[in-house]
Amino acid sequence: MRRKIAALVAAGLLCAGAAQAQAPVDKAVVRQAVEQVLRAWNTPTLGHWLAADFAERDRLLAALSFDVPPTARLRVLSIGGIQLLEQERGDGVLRSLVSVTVRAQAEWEDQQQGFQRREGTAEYVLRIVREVPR
Amino acid sequence: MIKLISRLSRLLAMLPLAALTTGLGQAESLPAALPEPVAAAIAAGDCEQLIALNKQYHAEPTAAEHAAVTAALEDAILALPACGNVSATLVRVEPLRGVDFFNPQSPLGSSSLGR
Repeated sequence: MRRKIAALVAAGLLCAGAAQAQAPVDKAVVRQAVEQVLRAWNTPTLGHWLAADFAERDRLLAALSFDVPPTARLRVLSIGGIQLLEQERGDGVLRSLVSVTVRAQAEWEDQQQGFQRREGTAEYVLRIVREVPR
Repeated sequence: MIKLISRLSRLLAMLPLAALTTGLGQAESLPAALPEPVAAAIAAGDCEQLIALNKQYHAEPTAAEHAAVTAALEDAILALPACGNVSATLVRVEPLRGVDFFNPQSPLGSSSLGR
């Protein structure tokens, strides 16, 4: 009986270990990443911020080049809740998928119509990769 | 039989407490004998010191305790929220309201303007 109980305890402890808390993702890092991505919108550096698996990546970059006034920029109005969606640990690396709700505004000066702005709220899904320097 | 079920249920209720007391609920568990500076840096959660020590142990791969020490250091580094080299990429955008600035069909909504 005692042996059975010990086995049960061991199994329970293993389960507890397997369900360890995920490593925290620094909210400041996420906010900074959002700011940088949105600052790069409609600039040649946006490509560096879009993941290789971002849907219609090349079409978006082309559309920004052709359909958007060159001076248009995004301004972050508010950054809402940050949620950890997935986390994966590799050899000296931690990959986290986080979602963050952002209200932003595109602003530009139109020669005929003057100052223009368009607002949009979206959930941005970012991959944050943290690597241990070796 | 009822007695056994009752005992087991009491035992199961104790499991989370047991996990906590044995340290399994923590982000990492320390190997038995870590060198003192490593144990101190881990206990202090000192990011810079942890990285410096990790580099130092990686530079001496022949050290007997190397694997256990670097594993403990890397666990400790990744358990700190902003420690290590960080990079970020945008994977997708789910529009909720207003203009979807990442929509390739019209990044400025219906009023996208040509250049």
